[in-house]
Amino acid sequence: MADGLAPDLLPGTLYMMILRSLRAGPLHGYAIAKRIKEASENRLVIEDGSLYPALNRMLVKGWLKAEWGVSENNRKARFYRLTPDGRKQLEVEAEKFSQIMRAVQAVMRTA
Amino acid sequence: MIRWQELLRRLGQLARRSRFDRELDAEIAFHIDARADELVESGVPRDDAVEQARREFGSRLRARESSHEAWQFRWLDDLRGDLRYAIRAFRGAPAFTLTAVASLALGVGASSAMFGALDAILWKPLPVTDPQTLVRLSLARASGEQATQVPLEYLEQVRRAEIFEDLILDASDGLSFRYDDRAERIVGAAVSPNYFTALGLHPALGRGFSAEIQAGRWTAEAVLSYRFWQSRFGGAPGVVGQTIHLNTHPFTIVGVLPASFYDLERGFEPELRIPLMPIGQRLPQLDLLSGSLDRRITVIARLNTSVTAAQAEGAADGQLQAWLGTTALPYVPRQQYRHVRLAAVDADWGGILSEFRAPLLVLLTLVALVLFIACANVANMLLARGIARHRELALRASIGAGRTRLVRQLLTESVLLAVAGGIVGIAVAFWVADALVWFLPQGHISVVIDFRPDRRVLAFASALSLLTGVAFGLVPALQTTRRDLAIGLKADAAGASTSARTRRGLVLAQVALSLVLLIVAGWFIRTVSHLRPVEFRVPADRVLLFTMKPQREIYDANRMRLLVAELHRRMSDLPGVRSSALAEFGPFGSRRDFVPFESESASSIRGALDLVTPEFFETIGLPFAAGRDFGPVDTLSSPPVVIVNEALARALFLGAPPLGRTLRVPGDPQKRTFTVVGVVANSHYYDVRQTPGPAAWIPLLQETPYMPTLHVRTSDAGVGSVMTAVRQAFDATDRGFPIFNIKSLEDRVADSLARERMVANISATFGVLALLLAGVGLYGILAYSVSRRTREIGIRLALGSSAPAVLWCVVREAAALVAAGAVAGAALAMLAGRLASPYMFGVSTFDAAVLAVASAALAVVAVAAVSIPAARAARVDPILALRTE
Repeated sequence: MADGLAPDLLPGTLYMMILRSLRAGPLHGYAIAKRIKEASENRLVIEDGSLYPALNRMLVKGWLKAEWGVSENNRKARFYRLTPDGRKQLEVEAEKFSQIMRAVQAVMRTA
Repeated sequence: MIRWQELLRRLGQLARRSRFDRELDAEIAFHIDARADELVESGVPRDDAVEQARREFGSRLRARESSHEAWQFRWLDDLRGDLRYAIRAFRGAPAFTLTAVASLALGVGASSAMFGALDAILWKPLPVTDPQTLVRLSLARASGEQATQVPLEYLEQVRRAEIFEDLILDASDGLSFRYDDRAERIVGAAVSPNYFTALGLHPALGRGFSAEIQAGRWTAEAVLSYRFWQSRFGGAPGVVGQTIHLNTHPFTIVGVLPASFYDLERGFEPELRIPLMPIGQRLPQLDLLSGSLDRRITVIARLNTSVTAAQAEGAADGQLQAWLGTTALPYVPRQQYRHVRLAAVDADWGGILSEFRAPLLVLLTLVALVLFIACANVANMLLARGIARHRELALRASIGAGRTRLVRQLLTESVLLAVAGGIVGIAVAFWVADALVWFLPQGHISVVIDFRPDRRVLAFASALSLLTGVAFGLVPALQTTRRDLAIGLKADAAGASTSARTRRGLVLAQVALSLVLLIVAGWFIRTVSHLRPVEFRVPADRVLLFTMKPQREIYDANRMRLLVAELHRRMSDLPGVRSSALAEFGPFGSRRDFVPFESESASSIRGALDLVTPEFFETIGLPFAAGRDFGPVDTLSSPPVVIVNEALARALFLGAPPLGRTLRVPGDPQKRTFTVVGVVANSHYYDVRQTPGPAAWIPLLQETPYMPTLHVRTSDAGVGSVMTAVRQAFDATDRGFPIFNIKSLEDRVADSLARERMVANISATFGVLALLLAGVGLYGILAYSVSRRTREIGIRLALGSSAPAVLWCVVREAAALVAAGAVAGAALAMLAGRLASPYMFGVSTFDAAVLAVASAALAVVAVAAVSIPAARAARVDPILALRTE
């Protein structure tokens, strides 16, 4: 754990990554965390305790829907699915993020 | 849009809190298990894997808490903070808090009780199925009042025409009820067998009328009212199946009605209900049950869902016109029926409570004024506090609290005050409701109504207190936060002038309104004291009254006369009885008779008529001007005689000596000619509100007594012993009929003035209350102004001003306020007088005594309220005042 970076360097990035990992289809909480960890080649580790509050805040916003289903090893699990609002939000967040990244990189190169 | 949906989601969450917890726990458990499984696959032993997965997850409690927070409302947290803050602020100012809560409690409580009373009389829907489809059917006549008693023969025709879904028939009368020992009088209602089913009434105990009765086969069943069951049978569940006797006929109790139901007529409740007999049948002992086609009866109809009230009225009217053409009932031509009228079942049609509507509306207005004064008081105190807390608020603003946030904080405080006031107010409402019931008159038919606050009143009280909380809180909150708050940090003296103006305005309004209340109270107190029958020479508390009702079906006319004569004879033997007499109606009773009188020289002089035994005038203390009393010589077989009062004598005989002259009563079925044998002084008789007018008395023993009242004039000895002796004399004479409504003539007069006494007492109570509240307001504003001007006063004294001069400068402000308020109040009272004058007797709106007493009361309270702060101002020590800043 100690070698992982904190995932929410910038406000909103955690939301963005959760939304992105759900783009392909519904996942349960553990799978989301695992997907982010693997996609970042183990560099980004979501502290598990902060995943569920974030998911709940996103439910309130209406970006996600949650429903109970059966996991790959046949256990009851809660699956999260993107709503149309969530899809839109993902585009907005991704666009904002890449703008910021470009801006920060520009500063780092020239300043 | 999004926010709106968000709010809905959050609200939905509130309802699912426990499920949410369970689901979240399951989800976290799954997460940890999944991680552990993965670790096991990579070769970690099971126990270590679980341990590691838990460690990796971190604090489950924190995850849970923060997940909850995601759903919570921010303002809910703010509110919690505001409340905590408000409670702390109130704890720091207990005197302010107590005064404010008490003022509001009185205002809210009294208003809620008045609302409850009016609601019970006017607005509350009847607790029956679909009351809005129930109508009262009456017949409009060529002249005079509509007939609410409708011929049964016509109703049979309406029933066959199937115009209405149901016809509910209802007739009530006093009955002689016997359960264990002696006969009691109760009021019973004979109702159609469909009564309980058509109204959707489910008995609290037992059942309604049997299916057999409803199919038209009559049996003697009775259903008790809830209250009669409680009072007479102690609420015993074993009452179903027991036998009672009504007018000597045995009935079986089959059920008890629910507590919520009284009657379709508000203010009335029969003790029990028995089934009407089918058409054509009757029971000799109980005329009330008769199914005879010529009887008349009250009828409530339920409209068919497919027709409007107007269509049903048209159809029923068509039936009426057809029936009028064919009926042979002898009384129909006299009644001059013209048209059918349908009215909502609880529309005002002159029911038992209608006379209390106007006074209760007046009282509601007065109480609303008290509530306003209370609110003004609290607003005033909040304004003063707002100024005192100016520094604190400015400090909060400077560290980032927005104005909305501060207004919300202040509003939270005022609403909290209002809620506390509302809670205490509900207790006050119960108390006021009891007091209102106490004023209801109890004549030969009791007024039964539940004024006790119910859910509707509680809802009203809650809404009212929240509303007042915002109303009296908003102005101070806005005003306190309006000024440039930064100034507050520098000095709290600046910028207080607008709020001072508002505060003075509020105190002025309080003084004015409390004076209005006092003046109104004064008028009605004068009215009540003026409405005393002063002409009677015997103190009204020395005359005891006992009303008796031997049932007509059991006691025929001769037996009644014998009974009356026998009772009268027995009374003369009793110790402590000066004299006694029986009268069919008696003065100020709830039954009365007005008829036209004729003589050779004048026709149709309307006057009061009563039937009395000898000694009546001596018993009630009405002196003879000429002639003689009735005596043993006046019997059924002797010539008819009459005693008149001076007013009738003058009107009928135009100044000629009345003794020996004759008069007739056009309505008399025997068309007798009465000879005047005596003349008595004029007096109030049936109604103390009417000026003494013509009246005549004829011997009860030349008539058929119906429900006579025994009047007993006691000597100075104890009234209680006479009461017992009279009851024993009744028992010795005959135990077969009820005696009821036992009271003194004094009580009877008071009952007949229930309306005025209610207004007088309640407005006086509220007037005093309003005055005290105004006093508190005045005190508050002065105490505050003195405390703020301590420094200024100190300087003045230091510069050589005398104490009286300083005193004057404090008192001047108060005197101006009180004077202006008094003038405004007097002017308002004159306006109110125009509305109240129809209910005032013997007192004018400009009554000097009322004005003087009200102003004096105001002056006393004002002086008391002013003297404390004034004394404090005079005691200011210049050295101390200048040192403290």
